[in-house]
Amino acid sequence: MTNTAIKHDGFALNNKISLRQLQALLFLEIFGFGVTALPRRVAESAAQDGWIAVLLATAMIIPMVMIATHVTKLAPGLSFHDFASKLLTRPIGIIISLIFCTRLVLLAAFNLRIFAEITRQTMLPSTPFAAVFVSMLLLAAYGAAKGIETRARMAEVLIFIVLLPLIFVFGISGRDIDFTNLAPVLASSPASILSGSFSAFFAFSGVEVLLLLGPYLSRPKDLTKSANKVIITMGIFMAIVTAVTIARFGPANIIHQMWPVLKMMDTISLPGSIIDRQGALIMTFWIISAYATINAALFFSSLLLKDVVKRGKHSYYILGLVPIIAILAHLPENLVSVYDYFNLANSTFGLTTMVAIPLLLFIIAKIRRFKRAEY
Amino acid sequence: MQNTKFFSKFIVIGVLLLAIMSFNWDRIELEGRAFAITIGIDAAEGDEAFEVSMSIADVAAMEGQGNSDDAATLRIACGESLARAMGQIDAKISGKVYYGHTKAVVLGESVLADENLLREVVDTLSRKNDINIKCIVMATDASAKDILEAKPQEQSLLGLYLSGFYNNNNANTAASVVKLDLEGLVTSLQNDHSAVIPKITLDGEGEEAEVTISGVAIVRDFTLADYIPEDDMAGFLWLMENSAGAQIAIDEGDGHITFLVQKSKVRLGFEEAGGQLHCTARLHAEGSIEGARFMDDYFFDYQTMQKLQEEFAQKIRDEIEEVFGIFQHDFGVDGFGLKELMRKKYPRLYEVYGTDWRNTFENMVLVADVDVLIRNTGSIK
Repeated sequence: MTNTAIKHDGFALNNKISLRQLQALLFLEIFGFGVTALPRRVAESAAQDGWIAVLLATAMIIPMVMIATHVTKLAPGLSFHDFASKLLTRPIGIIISLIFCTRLVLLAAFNLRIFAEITRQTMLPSTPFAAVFVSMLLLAAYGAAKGIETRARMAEVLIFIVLLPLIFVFGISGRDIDFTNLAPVLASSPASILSGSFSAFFAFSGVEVLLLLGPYLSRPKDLTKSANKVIITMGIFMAIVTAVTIARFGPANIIHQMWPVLKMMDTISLPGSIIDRQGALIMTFWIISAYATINAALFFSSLLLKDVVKRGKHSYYILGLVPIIAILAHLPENLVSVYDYFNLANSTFGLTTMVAIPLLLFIIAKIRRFKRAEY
Repeated sequence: MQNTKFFSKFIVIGVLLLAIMSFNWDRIELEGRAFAITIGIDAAEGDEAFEVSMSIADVAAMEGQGNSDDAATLRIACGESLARAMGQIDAKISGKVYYGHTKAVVLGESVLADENLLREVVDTLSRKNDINIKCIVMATDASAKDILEAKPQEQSLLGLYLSGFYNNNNANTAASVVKLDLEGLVTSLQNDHSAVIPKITLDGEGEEAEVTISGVAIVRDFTLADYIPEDDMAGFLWLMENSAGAQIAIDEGDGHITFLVQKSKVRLGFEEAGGQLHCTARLHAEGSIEGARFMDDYFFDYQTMQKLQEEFAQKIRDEIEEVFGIFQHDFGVDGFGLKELMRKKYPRLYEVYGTDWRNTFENMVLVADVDVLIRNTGSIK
């Protein structure tokens, strides 16, 4: 890794990204995967108050983002593994890095499997899973191998392709929405809303990569502010999507929909449209989001492995991770198992990487009075 | 650097190959698609449970390359489950059945009368990914197959006829107001195990038979309770959100005066009075006089206008009370979505009355408050 800027095809290649690019990356990596099943998951606990649960989850994730970014800013030039090793000794640093790596690999695997399931059900019923897996994995691997700058520039372009169909879909679906489905407000018990917000908390899966971004930020000083901005925006977006989807289907009906946000599009008929169903529009959003999440997971897990092993380029590790992710994605027998495993992974590795590790690093750094000058 | 280039080429070629293969795996030509426009579902006789009739569009005929009278072919198959019966149709025809453009599902009386069959129908259809949940659901007192065999006059495809009917008839008849799609049926059955399904009937016999949309079928506890004829349903549309387009006529002197609703607003609510739950229906309807007896100058006089408005209001009130009484006492089915209304807007009352809703509905008192305003009298006084 070099900080020396070189010119290549008109772009500076210095392995640094701007905060705007970071925001685009975070939005793409987190938003798409989290939001597709979110309205159902929160409605299962909090019924029509699901959107409040999402706002609550956003409020819960903000302190974790502040802690993670604070930790990242302590050693902006160091990789996560080096920082953790310096703070907690190398063996513990390796264990933490491997836990992180496992979390990201599992996130990529479940994301890939759900992507393949949706693709099969909605677009390519006869194409084998393997073909869908391999296409997506190869594309994600290609993007990840190209490094953080390529990913960041790509995110800046893709974010519009993701957002425009989504805004369009939710804009035109407004004609057929019964907002009384959101009434009565706050009728669910606090325990139900809290349980819903716990589900919604994991819609922010992927936010933990903030811990890994230290060496790649051009202006780490403003990381907390930028990260908070994008997480709050995302939380508001998620709450709006959840509210609109619950209003569209009703709390009783939505819990029976596997992917209610994707189903939204099927229920819309555009005036004067020659196409009866507009599922392709929302699939654009979904495919790109799935790609961004898998791409991020591959990129960061390969970096962690490279830092642990301390040999070779990260792209070699990507090649090694691709078959592992494909096999893991193939393991669950059906969708029910996928979501069961996913919930298990969230409540173990997810909580560890999103809450426990940032907190641990933060507390140890405070105890040891670790400051930027120390490295 | 060479390694990276090799890696890139490998991935680009790999993805391209897979994309091409995927195109081959899922390639379906337009001619290879069999577009199911209308689905009819009946109980089968013998060992099989379901008989499915499917009206499949002939794309070539619809595009004017063939006889437009043969724009659809009817395929029938039986199966021990609905999914199998539908699969049997797929196995019988050259194309691949596609439900993405299905416009209507007609449920025969034999299915509606059997709780198990009806529940299987609703589950199977809502589970099927390519069926549009906005497709219209109709009930028939005949067999669904007979309905699909009959051809509507203006439109050779029943599904398209029904779709057009509901798009163009806002409130001309109660049946057109009671539009039910698959999503609505699922929600209604989930909420109250009951549903009000518009009825399609067959008039005449043989090739002369025509389909008519008239009245509704009432499903209670997932089973057909009975039908309500069109005439008794007149009051139903007044309780719907928008009854613009509805007409009402009163006897006046030796003739009739007809009032056309151009704008309406109904507010349903609840209140407790004297230890009893009251459902309040406050309706305001504005519109114009569509017809009266020639040379009878009713409309010059303010007093007469007031009297006419009150007479129209009274007639509407009577119709509302009649239809409410039928739902309340004859069927015990809340066809007006009152339970959901109470849950959403009156949560405190819902806590008290929502648990035993059927009992609550059967014992509530309807208070209909109707206000009619004659805005104009057409081109003549």
